[in-house]
Amino acid sequence: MTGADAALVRAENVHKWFGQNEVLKGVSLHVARGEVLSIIGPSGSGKSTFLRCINQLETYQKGRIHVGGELIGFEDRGGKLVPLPNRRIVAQRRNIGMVFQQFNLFWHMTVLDNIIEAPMLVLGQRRSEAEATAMALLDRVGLAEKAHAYPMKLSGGQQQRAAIARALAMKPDLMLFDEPTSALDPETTGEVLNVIADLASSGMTMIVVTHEMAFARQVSDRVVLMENGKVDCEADPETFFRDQPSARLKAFLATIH
Amino acid sequence: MGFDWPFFWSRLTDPGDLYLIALGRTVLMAVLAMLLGLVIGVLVGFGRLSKFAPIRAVCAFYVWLIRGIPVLVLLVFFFSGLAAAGFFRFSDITLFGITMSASFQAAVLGLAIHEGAYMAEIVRNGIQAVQRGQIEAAKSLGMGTFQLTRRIILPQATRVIVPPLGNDFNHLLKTTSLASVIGVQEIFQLTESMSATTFKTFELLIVVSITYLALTTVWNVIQGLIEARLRRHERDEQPASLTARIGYYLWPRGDAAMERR
Repeated sequence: MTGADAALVRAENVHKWFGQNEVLKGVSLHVARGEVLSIIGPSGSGKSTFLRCINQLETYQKGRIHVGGELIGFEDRGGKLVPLPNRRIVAQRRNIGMVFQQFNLFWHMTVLDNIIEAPMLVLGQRRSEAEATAMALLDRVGLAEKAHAYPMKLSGGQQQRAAIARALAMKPDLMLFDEPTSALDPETTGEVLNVIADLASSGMTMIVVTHEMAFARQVSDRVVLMENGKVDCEADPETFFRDQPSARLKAFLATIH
Repeated sequence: MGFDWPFFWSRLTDPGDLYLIALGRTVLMAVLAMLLGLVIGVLVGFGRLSKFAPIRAVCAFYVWLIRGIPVLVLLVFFFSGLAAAGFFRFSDITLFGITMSASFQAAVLGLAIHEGAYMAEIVRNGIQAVQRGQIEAAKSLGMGTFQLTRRIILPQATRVIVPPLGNDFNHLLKTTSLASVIGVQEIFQLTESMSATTFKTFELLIVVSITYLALTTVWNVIQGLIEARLRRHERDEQPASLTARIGYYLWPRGDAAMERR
């Protein structure tokens, strides 16, 4: 395993409050380049909030998150965290892809337009270039024939695969998955998990918040249990699920089986 | 007493140049006021959601003020009130060989300021109807505030805004009749002056009513076509023919092919 310095994502003692309510109580996690990290835990444990802090959809208030060596959301002025101007935050998000529980495809655009939008607008790609990339990605997620369909015409699983293609079109260094199959029927969950597994095996660095234990076990390099705003335990999937190295993890796994 | 059918028919079938010019004025006044009102509405609608409290306050004040004053009072205020106080006097302007009278300008401005207040609320509602997830997705793809406003928020808000906006324009087409009070020679003013000389008040009022009805009907069809286009994302692959669509919006249950699934 690579050391902390080779980590693509370094979170140190991250705290986050929603008003009086402290939802992250000092989260520290490292993710190496090419590593697949799954985060599991009960709802309200802060796992989604932590994920959203990484691309600044939420702002953390204490601690540090580095992605690719760059401090996310803040500038460190002699130990004091000064919020970055919005345009810097916007720029930081370019290299971080995110897939949402509710897919969030732009419903007023076709699947193809959804995918080429950001590459053209944000990266300044030509339409022909963006479309070529998009079609290759759609092919990869098995949706080439749906390129010109509107999202509302697609099943949940198809929408989520299109959303994954959209995020990949930005050629991110890191992919964040926020419960990507929680809104899906059991029949379509598999097709989405297959796409994510395929992506994992291609060497993409990924953080996956999930309730799919079998998937986490099969695809991850490391699994983390978050509980009550903290990392309770982390281990490689075999150790994690076989030995269940913490009392909380045993209790959590018992509730979901 | 009695209804003068021959007079009624002749007015209806051969309204004459004066009436057609007045009709053009009515339509132009409504269109210009609508466009100007839309600009005001978009600015004020976004302003009401601004991060800066003073902007929010100014925009809220505008909406509160204008929605609390009758249009008729506004029109007279702009045309006569400002001039009487010596603030501003509208004068005739000739552009590209077309003269816009002072009263016409005051009417367009007054109607636009009135419309703008209502549109601001419609626009604000449309913007607020855009789901947070759509904005988060745009942000996660690296779009900046301006980019996601232009490419995601505005097009999606438009789908929500257009139907009530269309109804507003329908209303505006008829509200133009109030401009007769400040001397704009539109169809209602012409009707009144003609009835003063012919004493055929009843017949002329029916003619002008039919004219307004024709205007709003044409607009209903146009509105239906615009809305159908904006619903592309939820429509089936094969769009219905133009005539079917017009028929549908004139008679919504008359054409089974247009029924939404």
